[in-house]
Amino acid sequence: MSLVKLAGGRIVDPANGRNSVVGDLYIRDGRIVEDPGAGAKIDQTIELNGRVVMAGGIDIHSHICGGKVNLARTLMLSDHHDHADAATGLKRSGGGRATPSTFVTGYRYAEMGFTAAFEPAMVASNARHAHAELADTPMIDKGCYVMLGNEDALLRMLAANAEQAAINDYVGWMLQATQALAVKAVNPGGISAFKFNTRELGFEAPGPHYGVTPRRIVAALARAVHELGLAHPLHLHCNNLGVPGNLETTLQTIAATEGMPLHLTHVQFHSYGTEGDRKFSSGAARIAEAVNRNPHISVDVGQIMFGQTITASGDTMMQYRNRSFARPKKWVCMDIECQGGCGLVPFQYRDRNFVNALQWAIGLELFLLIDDPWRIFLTTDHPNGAPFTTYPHLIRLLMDRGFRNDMLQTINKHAAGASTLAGIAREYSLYEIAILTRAAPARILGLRDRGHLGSGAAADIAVYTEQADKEAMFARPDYVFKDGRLVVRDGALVDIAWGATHVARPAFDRGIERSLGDYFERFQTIRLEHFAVGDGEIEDRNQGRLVRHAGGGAAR
Amino acid sequence: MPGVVDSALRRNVACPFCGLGCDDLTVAAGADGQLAVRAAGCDLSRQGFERRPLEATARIAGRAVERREAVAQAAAILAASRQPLIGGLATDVDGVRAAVGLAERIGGIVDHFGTDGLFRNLRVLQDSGWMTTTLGEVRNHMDCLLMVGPDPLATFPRFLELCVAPTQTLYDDGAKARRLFRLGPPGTGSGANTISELPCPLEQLPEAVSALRCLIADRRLQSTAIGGLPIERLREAAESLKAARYGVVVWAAAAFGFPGGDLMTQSLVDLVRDLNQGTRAAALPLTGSDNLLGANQVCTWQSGVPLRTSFAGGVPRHDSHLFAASRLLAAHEVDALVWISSFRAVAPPPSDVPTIALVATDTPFARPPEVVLPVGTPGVDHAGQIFRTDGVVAMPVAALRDSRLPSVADTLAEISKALDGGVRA
Repeated sequence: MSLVKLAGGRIVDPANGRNSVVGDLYIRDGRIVEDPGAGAKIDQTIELNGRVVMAGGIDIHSHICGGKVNLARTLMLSDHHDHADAATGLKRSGGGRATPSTFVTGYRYAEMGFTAAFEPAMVASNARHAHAELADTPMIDKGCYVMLGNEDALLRMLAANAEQAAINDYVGWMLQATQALAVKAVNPGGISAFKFNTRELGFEAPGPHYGVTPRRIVAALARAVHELGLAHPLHLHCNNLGVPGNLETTLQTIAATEGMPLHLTHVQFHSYGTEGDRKFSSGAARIAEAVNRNPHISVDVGQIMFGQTITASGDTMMQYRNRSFARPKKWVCMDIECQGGCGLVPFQYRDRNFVNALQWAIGLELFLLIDDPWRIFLTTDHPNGAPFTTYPHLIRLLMDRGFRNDMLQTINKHAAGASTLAGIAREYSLYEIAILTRAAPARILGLRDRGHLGSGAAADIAVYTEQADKEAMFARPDYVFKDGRLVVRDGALVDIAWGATHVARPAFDRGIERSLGDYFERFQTIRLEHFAVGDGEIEDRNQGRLVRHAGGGAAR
Repeated sequence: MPGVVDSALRRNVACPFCGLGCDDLTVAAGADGQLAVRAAGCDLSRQGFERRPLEATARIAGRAVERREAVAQAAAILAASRQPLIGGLATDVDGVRAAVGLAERIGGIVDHFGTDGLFRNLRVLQDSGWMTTTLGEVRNHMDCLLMVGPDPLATFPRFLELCVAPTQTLYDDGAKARRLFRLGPPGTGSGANTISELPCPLEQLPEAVSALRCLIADRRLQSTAIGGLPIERLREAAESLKAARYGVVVWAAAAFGFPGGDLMTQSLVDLVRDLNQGTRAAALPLTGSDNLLGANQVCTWQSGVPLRTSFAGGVPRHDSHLFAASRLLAAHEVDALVWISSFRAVAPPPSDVPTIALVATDTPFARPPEVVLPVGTPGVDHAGQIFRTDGVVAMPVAALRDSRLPSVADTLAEISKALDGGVRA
């Protein structure tokens, strides 16, 4: 196979401790290889002349596939007509900014230098659909987190005080059956409670019918994920999303972990206080302090950006509660299979609106007040806070204090006044951005050959020309390689690649299938053998490939 | 029932023949490929599985030809076409993938033959959203059911057995305490004596549903009866839904074929929302036969927009009126038709448009199409994926016999390849 040399790049590779080291990279068979020595025949040399070289970006939390995303597309017809992509000899057609079609999702990520993205809210019953969409999503590696913690099967086990070992087997089986990489809990207990007409559920409140508290659900799932040896800790969307004062729920949740690793997702939506005339204030400082103090906690932010988007969530309880904020005025709530749900509420975040403006500031405060870049991840909770295509803008806000403060001048004055943002001097470095968007995501997902540029890594590479305007820089990479294939040149797609689907395959006792099979037959409307998604259903389509990650803490 | 030796008995077979996606059938396969449903069947599944495996003869204008000739002729028709339509679209997920891909490539329009009903729901979803549920929730959670319209059991035969009267539910107080109503035209009821019939003529259903909403909102009504149905009977349903813990409202929009049919859907969606102010309730639109929802799902994720979409300008453009297949054919706005019906024998609508039919083998035609390419049935001749009525569960269906019949996906790939070869118009 041919050998390609990327010569004279400025390598920003935090996983290997390389901070702007000028050097060469060699690519062979889709991998980064050692310098082959003076005698080696180099088939192609690309002179980088000091351009910035990073691993391809990895998005750990982006709603890109499955039933709720397709419902979101349905509600956002004009998003597609207004942002339509034509077919070319290379690209399929499609469109959408907030809810792009599958092909366009892949193209937009690659055009920013991102080479992997993960769907964080797969309803177990909808797994086949989610993977069918991913099969039509090119350019990126991908995977899904299965939502557990509201399904009857687990809640009934907890209500009956099932042993942790049985819960571990159940979680292990669910991961395999739904071809998931990680476990997500969304408003644990709350989605179930909403089906029993409970409209609010606190962290310590026993839910209806089962009498199980969210605390109990979180503890059981976090332990199962840990004991199964998954790389990624429980990915938790806390109770009380969006409710003023919910920072207390978030702090309660952190306190309850007792050292068990936990990832708190879109923590911006969970960092609200009740101070001030409007009873809505930033809780970022207290959340950041708790995160800084607890090294077993990681977070992604879920930054909002101003403009039209749509929120797509498994959290029916909170989406129903927020329905009056829908713009345009339409919304969907769906109860799903005694397992979960989904809710869609279109949103226009407005910079002149006090709450929206403060949400924007709270997200940025979190980014700037949480010290360890290995434990905070750059997300907009696409499309809930903003489309993922706003990442270059977000990176500029983090790296450029002057720009940030200029933007702060343009938002609602009361919100700007209520935020500490103006006084925060921190600016992220390129190295830290590479941690946030490359090295740390790979590490927390256990993708050992992604997110870095060391020998043996997959050749997912993005090359940027350093510019004062970091938004312009990150919006338009000079080169992007996917598994060694040059797919983007000067910000434009030049080739198509198909990434792999990452799944976790921890060991568990398959004996659980007997009782589960009986459960499906008696109560569900699908049999266990049809519920489970087969490997072939992924591998047989569009160069589909599964990467199976064994448990047992291999990635630790 | 055909005389099949039960030498190969398949259990837990998933059925592709309506939107319920039952997957507990037992099907026997004879050596000649003849199938017979042995357990858990219904009229539709028996008709579907027990269709005789006929000769897979490709035809050009009624004349038997080699398959590759027919494929070449199909490509030639499409290459010469300026505005092709891919209609019918009754195929599995992979078949729809291929169809949307082909439509994009040839600048065509995609529609499914079941979209009249689909858009009575989809337009409401697009305009206002809704609150819905899935089969599993109905089976376990529902304690009050309101079915609106003609009896859905003709098109969804096992709905009662599967969801309304299961032997066990997760919440053990379930099945017995259920209150069941059907508001719809008289004489079409299922006859199940557990269901309270609220007889009302089809065209007066919108009025009856509006009255029901008023009763739920405790508003006074002037009239004492609607279409002969006393208001007091409606009041009973209203009170039951309000008192229910999880009410479910079911309809099949395909039956709302009267002017303003989508307003009917809107009223039902609004009724469900009204109920949720005090208790829980959800809607279950019954639909999805011939993988209608799967076709719409695939089109939506690949193009960003639903069925009835044109790729003529290079970008997907959706218009539920302009790009309706029936309208396009009637108005002579298309000059080629690819007609797909792989689950059952559905002939293309009568037209003089050059037609390429990818159809189940026993399809009768009013006139011989320009090209006939027989295809297999997903879940019978080849494996595939079919979406259920709730749009959430995609059911895997299996190949039950050795079949020479290719899938729609493979057939469209052949046509696409022939187009690559530069077919001359």
